Amino acid sequence: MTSHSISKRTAYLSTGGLGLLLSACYLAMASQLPFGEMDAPGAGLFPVLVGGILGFASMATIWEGWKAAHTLGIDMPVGQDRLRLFKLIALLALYFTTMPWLGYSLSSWVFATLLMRLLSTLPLLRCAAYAALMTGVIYVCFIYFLKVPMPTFALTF
Amino acid sequence: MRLYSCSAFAGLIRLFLTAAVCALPITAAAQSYPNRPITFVVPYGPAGSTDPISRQFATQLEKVLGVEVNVENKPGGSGTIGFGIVARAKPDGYTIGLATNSILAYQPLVNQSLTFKTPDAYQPIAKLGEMPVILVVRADAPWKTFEEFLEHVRKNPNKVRASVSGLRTVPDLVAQEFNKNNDLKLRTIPFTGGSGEALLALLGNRVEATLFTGAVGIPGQVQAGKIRVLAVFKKGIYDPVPEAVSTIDAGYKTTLSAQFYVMAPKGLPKEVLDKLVSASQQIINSPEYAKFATEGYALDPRSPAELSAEIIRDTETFIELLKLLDQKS
Amino acid sequence: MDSLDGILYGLSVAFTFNNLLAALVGALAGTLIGVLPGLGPTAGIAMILPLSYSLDPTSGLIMMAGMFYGAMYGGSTTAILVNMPGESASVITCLDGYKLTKKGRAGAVLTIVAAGSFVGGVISVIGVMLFAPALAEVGLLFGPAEFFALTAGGLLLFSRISGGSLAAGIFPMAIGLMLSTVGQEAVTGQDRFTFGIAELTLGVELVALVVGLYGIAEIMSVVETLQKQVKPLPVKLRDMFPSRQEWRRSVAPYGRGTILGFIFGLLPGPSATLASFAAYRLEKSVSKYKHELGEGAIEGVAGPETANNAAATSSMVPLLALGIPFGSVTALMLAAMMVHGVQPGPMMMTAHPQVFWGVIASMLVGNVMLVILNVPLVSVWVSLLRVPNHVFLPIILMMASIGCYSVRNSMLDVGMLLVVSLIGYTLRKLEFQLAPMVVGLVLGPLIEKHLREGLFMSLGEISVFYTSPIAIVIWALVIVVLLLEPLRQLAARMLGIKVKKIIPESSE
Repeated sequence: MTSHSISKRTAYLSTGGLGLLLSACYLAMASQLPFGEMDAPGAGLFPVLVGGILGFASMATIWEGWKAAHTLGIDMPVGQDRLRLFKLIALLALYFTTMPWLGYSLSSWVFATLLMRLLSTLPLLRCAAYAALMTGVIYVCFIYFLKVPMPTFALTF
Repeated sequence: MRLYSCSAFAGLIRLFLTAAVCALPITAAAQSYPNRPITFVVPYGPAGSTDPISRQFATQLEKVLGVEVNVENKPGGSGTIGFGIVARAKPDGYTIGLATNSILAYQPLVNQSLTFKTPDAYQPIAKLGEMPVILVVRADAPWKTFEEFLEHVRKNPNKVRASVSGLRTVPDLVAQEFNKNNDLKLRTIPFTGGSGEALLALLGNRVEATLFTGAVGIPGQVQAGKIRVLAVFKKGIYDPVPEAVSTIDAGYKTTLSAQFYVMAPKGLPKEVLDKLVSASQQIINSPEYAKFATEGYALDPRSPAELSAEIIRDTETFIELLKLLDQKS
Repeated sequence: MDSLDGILYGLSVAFTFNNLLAALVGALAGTLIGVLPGLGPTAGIAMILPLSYSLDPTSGLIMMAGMFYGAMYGGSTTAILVNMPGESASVITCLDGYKLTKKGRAGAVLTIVAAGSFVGGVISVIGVMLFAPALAEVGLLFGPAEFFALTAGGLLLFSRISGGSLAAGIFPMAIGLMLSTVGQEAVTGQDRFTFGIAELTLGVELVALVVGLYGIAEIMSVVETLQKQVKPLPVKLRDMFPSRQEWRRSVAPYGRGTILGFIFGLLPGPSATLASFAAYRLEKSVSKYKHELGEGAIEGVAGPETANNAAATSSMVPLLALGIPFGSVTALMLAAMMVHGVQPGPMMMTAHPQVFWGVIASMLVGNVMLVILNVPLVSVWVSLLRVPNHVFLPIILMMASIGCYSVRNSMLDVGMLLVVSLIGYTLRKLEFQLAPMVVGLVLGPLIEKHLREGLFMSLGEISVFYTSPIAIVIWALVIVVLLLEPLRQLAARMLGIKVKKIIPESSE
């Protein structure tokens, strides 16, 4: 599998650029906060300092990128690897968005099944079975025994 | 023939049972209250001064009512998030909670988005206690009495510092009210992170005095010879520190204290409300509770109607204070 | 009652059946909670608080103390095994701990950590016993100016905590600082950068950030390189125990960590977390093997873990001696004491000696119990590593979401897990350092608080920050440490050049 890489220079320069943009927006918002007096400093004082630090750090990043040799690269995943990674991210997003609706146990079961399917070559049904077992054990351990409060579905489990 | 009468009889029984079952919830709900666990919401984190008194009440309530009372901490928004949950809950008596005058009287004035602006929006049940503010100085300070301290404050306007547990908290507002009523200029220095930190600042000699809510841990420090309590901002003696001069008795006007109430959502059925009120009165008047209160709470049992009046009175005081403070800035 | 009598009395209290059972239950529950990524000692103690009320005060406090340490042990276990810190005090352990696991030394590391935590805890307890009242005075000496020096100086020092270039450290740190300002501000209650989202007023939760940044980002890496994963070799017995060299290398970090942790515990704030950062930084400065730090040096685990346990123990001192809790765990213990009618403070030793000495003795007992529990567990934990990824990862991810959600009952925190993990993954790819971001998030609020409180207190005089003797000492130390490396390199270069010149001459 050939690996695809982006140059470190580009990466750092763009990160630094984004950082500068972020610090500009942040400072703009911070300047609207009250500053107070010297003997009663307000909420805006510290964010302004932080914005300044962010700006400085962004410039350091840009400089780092500028200095970097043109040949230095950062490996990015390609092909199957990249697809798997994206699927994982999508699964996580699905899991977290369905959790409040389906309740913890149900969405965990679905998530575990799909994740197992992604990571292994087991058939879907077997994944679902194992996932149910895993979810059950976790449920007993943490939700039933330790009474950790998690979102529930209408079935309240 | 027999078949007919059997089925008719069966039908009658069925009718009777159905009627009985339908009637049950109407009477059962109120009569058998409570028949499942009650949730007691504390709108502050578990490490605050509100937790011990809430848990004491909850534990005793469990014994009186005979069901589990689960204390849940729901901090945030200076207490408004947790109390909002109680105010919006179903008025069936299974969700009640703690509220302070800071949440009920002060927050609605500064936070426009709250739904509970007046005592009409919720149902007061009982007053758990009151924590007046006390004025504490170091034992080695030159001021031995309250009057001496006030003299010092008058001579050094805006220079004498008293630490408090945060801006616009009860001790801070008590100080501002005191300043306003008596033409003084005592500066309040906020130390966020609990009144413990404000006390530390005093012990470390970084401020001249501290305004402390209640008296938890104070008698121990007094006995150890570290601090002196000069005054208490209430009428009469404050039991944990009986040597403190009452500001009202000394002729200075004060009305604010930290008040702790038990609240429920508006619209409780009468039987449920009565049961809660009588259970609360029983608890507050019990010797067990009185013993707990010696740790720093002043007991002041009142009826729900009196509570509403108290909250309205505190609201008016806050309005006055805010007007004054906003004018200055 | 003098200290020796006290501790004997305390041991007699601690060794009753009830109290031993309470300690065991607390330690077990604490370990389980600590293993859950995100749920830390505070949440755990809050959960058993109602249970402890039905026990007598000493037993209740012993159970809570047991849970506190148990959570510390459990948290470091997941940090080492799967790069997922159980709580913020274990973040630093991830750095070298996980690298060592990947080298197959997981069992050894877990044992070193258990031993170190034990050493740190026990020595700390002895220190507490002997000097409790005097130590309380130490905490009083630190005011806003001193703390500002400590935290701001710490920020400067910790920005280079895990090596790398300047930008690689400062950029994530700045982002961490920025995230720390989101939410309701402590002094005036002003909402900052919340964009009207109610849940954001509580700010960015440290746990969600840490678990996402380290744990889930690592999982993403693992998933990405799935094909290239090496099947874990069967663990040889030799790998379960630390080698003699590893033991030898850990001795000095144990000592340094204990002293540092003990001091930090006496100060307010998240002392265990700060102690672990400081210990790592110290190792980076003075250890013989400092070049290995970040790639799997045992010092990077031994020092911080010892420090955080020592800090956890000494953080009881301000509570017991002054009656003032310095952190959320000790604050919970204060609440429990109050409900039982025990007033902590200077009078506690005389008014309730069985509680005072009982709690101190229980710290000893708790540490012993945890070592006994954990050493056999090491083999269990290590065998967990051999579980295939497709079973292991879903379980870990499910547990991580429980842990993060339950801190504040907030789905926002869970969603933040995903966002932060993406950021973490990207940062790792770009060779930025993750630890400084955590440093920024932890120290940001502290720096702001002390800066503003200092200005309030001094009525506007900035000089308060550089006129206090303790503050001056701290700043001096910070400058020395910062300049140590560059100065040494400068000296080496200068000396090296001189040496080079000498040798050719003498060879003639």
